[in-house]
Amino acid sequence: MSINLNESSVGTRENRLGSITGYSGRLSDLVERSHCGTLGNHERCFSQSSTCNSSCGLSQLAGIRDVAVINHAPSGCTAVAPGIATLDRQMATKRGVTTDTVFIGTDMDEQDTVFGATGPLKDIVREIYRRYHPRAIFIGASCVTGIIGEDIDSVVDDLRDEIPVPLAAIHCEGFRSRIWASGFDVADQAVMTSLVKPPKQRSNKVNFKNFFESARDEIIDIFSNFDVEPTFLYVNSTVDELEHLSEAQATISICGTLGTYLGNALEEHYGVPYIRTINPLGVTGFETWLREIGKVIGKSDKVEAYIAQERAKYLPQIEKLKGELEGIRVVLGMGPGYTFEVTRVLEELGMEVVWAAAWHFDPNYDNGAVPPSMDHLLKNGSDFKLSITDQQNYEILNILDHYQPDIYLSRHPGTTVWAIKQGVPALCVTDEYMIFGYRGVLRFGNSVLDTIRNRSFEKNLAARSELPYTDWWYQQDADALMKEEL
Amino acid sequence: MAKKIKQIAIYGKGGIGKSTTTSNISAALSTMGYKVMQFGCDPKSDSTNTLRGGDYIPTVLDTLREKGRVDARDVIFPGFNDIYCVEAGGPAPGVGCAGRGIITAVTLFRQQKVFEELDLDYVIYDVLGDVVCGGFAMPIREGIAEHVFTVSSADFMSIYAANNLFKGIEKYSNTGGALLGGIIANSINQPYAQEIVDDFAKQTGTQVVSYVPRSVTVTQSELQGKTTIEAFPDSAQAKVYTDLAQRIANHTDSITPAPLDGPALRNWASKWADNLLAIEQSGTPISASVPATPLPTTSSIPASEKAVAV
Amino acid sequence: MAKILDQPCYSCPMAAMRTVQSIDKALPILHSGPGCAEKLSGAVGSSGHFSPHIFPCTAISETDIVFGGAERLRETIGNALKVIDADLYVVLTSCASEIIGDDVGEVVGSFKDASKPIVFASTPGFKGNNYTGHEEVVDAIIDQYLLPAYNARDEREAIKGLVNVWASVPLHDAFWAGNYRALEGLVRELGLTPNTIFGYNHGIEDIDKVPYAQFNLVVSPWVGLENAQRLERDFGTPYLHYPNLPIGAFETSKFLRAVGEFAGVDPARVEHIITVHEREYYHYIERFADVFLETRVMATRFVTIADAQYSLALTKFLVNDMGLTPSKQYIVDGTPEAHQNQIRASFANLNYGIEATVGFSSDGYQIHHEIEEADFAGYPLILGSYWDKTIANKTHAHFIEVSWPIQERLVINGTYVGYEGGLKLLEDIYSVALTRFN
Repeated sequence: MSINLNESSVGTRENRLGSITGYSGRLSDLVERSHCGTLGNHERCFSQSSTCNSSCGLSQLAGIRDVAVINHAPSGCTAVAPGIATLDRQMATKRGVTTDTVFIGTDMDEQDTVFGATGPLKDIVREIYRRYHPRAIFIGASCVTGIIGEDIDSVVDDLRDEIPVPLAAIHCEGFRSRIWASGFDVADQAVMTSLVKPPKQRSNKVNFKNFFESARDEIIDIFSNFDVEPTFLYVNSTVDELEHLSEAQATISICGTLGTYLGNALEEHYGVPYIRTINPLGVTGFETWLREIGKVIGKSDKVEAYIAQERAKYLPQIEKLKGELEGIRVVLGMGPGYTFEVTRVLEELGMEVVWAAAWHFDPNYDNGAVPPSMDHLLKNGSDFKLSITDQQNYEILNILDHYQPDIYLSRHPGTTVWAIKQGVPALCVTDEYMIFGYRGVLRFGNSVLDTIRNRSFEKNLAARSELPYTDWWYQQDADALMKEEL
Repeated sequence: MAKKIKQIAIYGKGGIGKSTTTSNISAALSTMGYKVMQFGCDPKSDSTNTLRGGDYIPTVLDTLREKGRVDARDVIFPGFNDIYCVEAGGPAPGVGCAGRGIITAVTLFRQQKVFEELDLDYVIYDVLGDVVCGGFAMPIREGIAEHVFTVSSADFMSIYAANNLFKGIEKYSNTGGALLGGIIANSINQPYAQEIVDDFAKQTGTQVVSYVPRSVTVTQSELQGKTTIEAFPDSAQAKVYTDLAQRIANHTDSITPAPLDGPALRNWASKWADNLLAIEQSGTPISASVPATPLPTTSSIPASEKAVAV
Repeated sequence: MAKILDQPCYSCPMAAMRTVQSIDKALPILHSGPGCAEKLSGAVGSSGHFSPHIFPCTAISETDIVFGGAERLRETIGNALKVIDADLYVVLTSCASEIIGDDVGEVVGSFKDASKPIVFASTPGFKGNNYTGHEEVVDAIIDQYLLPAYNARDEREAIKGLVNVWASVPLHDAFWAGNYRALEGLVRELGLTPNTIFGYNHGIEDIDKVPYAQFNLVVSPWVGLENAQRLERDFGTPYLHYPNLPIGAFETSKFLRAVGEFAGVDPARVEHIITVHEREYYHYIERFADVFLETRVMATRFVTIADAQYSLALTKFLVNDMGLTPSKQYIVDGTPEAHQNQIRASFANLNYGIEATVGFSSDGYQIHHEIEEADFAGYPLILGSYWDKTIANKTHAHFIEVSWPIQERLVINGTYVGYEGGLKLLEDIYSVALTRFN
């Protein structure tokens, strides 16, 4: 489906891409049915709390420096403000820059719910502009505004002449999607429709979409070999940088789930090529990715030279590590942009994927193609068991109990701890660059070995923790509470 | 892409004949050669029935519920003369949120660029009742319908609903929302009925675009599951609808209405109630001319027609 | 009406899921969108026995909104009973479920024969804040769990010396666990038996005891007061409302006298306890008085920007114990207007006739603007939340995070309550002061 930039809202992953949050089966079946377009979702008759697409989308936007995010919502939605502010400021401090981004609520009450509050909202937007002079203002919707039909678009239109910076309505009602990654798309839609300008020229930049730029220096260094300069998105981005995204030589994303909407939108509307390879995790991933970038920006020679030089340095060390990792049995649970990339690296390093869980699954990206990682896995003979589960903790613990792996890998806060309480060593692969490139493989492999070797913390805690689930539940199959496929 | 799609919303109190009128307008526009979509925004989901031989079609929201996702193209069904029929659908009475249902359905269509791709001339939203919450105002927001028409009889409850709609339009008029094209006076068979609607139009600074008489032809058509345009194209009633459709096609400039506030509306209504009482006491044979019609102050739809229309 | 919530210091009623969470083996079930729990759960400390990842949630979807979500809730509760082993299940409603009007009472009522008790509380985000939500949850437990059992019993005698203690809002107040334990300790020293329902090893058995207490002790400016009034109405239990969380010797001694008097404890015994504690407390104060008196970098003025509980407690301690002078104090917890005058009066009743003015506000920008304009006669001491770090930097203040939101310090079970708590607070304040000389 083509990208529609005429609307302020963008369809949810479920509706736009046919994405699902409930499935249990095998890789081969998932990939096959993704190709045929026959993959349906399984609803659950029991679910646990996960994550909101609004906190996802609005925190993406709040990563941009010197903007204002106004969440038109009751106070609970603004409870994310302290976390967002802390992250923004700590990230800016790390870079040695400053940010005056603010995350504001409108504290909607019962009266607003009954009578609507677009009037006060307008005044709040005006006052926030007066206070902070942000470079852009994003007005976020909420469950309340979505249900009562608060017309945020008209507020934006109304204030456009009055407030001299880009304004955008962000349609991120909490109930609209069970997939928080729908929030990434909402943020991208706002950036595309309110900030990005048509290109005047091609620059030497590449757009680099990531989460928290921990490998910023390393990546700048790598790309300097190819005479291009990455612009990291969105944490610490500036509005000026974003206005020029259309002029870049390519868009790259560290995660396919994160990048699909922006990458495809920039390609479709402004001809900026979007790099769609497997991700730069592990050796094969890193090299495949670099070669494609080299091709797109016309620097294949330099890329090959770089690869040769790095291989010489790191491959012997990686080979040595492989011997130690061989045969380690792994269960992992991550966003789909990582699950099906990390499984590749695990198998590359000789580990065994016992079960892979992904927090959702996109059977295709916004260009209509199945995520490249899926075909790559299948082509290389993988066919592990897997489930699609939106962080359903009870399913994960059931799986861990059943398969008793040597290690559990996860990427999201509050998930690994449950594995260790159940006596399974766990490593939180929370940094998106932990397995990036040759050095990342070493970092990751050694962390796995350390985790498995010293089990003191896990054993001490597991011995004294009571698990929250009933014995009945542990006797069921992990997918017992999934309904028929839709 | 350059073509501008004319989007029209038709509002009216439930049971007032709004779907009948809307379907006949759609049918008439299609016979004039326009590509038309009729988009029913009423949880009863029967807006397009007479365009499809009395059939109910799967609604946008039921499909969303059953399949978890909706491709807009899957919930568009061909009706009379290739009119594109869509029903938003909605919850059973007493549960859920019908208003949000309208937002959900309309938004899905807009995100998927359906109107542009079908190269439509007209999208006609048939929307239930007065504007009770934000969801029911969705079609009159900026960028959706440009012109609103309201179907009203001389029944006071129907006029109250029209007045509420005017309030909604007035609110959205500041932010680029739809403006009022006028009132479609329905079931007008008595001189005083026309006077009541005319007077209301005058009070609110708007116009009456058409007077549609009550007609057995309509009932007969609907019993066949058809619009009058389809069933009795040469009838006088079909001519009324064709003229109305032509007027809507030619219509360009809508206005912001001046709705009456609470006390003013009550005063206006009680003045008319006094008038009607005077007419009745003076012995004018109200019920003689139209036997099936009860007094306009109660319900203006005969039981037989209700069974078909509702 | 909608207003600017700039640097929010409260969240919504559904945050009272954390009140449920802090009762041993009590489990919230959220009838909400998928992400409410995550938004309301805070940055750290979310891996306890039941935590937001464990909470059952209906994950209301677009179709549930349109068609109604009651059946979805029914199946979620039914399966929660099967999958998760809890002693008490508390269903919480959300903005979404309340606006569309799902009949949660009916759904919960249909589980009246379940093996475990299930109650529900109305906690839509637009109706109050997390403090009133906390009261709603306690109220729901009293009304739907305790009252029917109490009415069904013949034996309804109060247990002599049993005192229910109601204080900090669990988990929202980072120091809640320590506060409850410290208050229990003080009550126990008076020869009474404290009963609390929150924190380690406090669960449904403690809830069961609530109707049989000799009295309820509410240690809080306003939160929990209405619960105590309800307990008085339903079970005839009298209550003592002690608005000030006691920190340090001066205020703790006052607290012991007040509770002792209300409970009918022999005054001589109370005085003896106080004397023993104060001797030890002042032994340490004496040793470190040089730090407090002779630091070049701390002015005599301070400001608190906190919930009513800490704003009042810290002001009392710093004025009445440490001899500092209050500038304008800020209460940022959205205290309902009905309670504001009573709280103002507490601030007007400090030693030596000192009165502190109080501002109630949810607008951090305005507060910071006022602080920037104020004269502190030197580097001020700012006790506030994470948000106040910026104004502290601007005014060269000494700053510690004490009130929600706390982002850059870890509190496990620490507390400032009591004699020991006062010393702990001094350690924290002067550990900051000692990082500077001039």
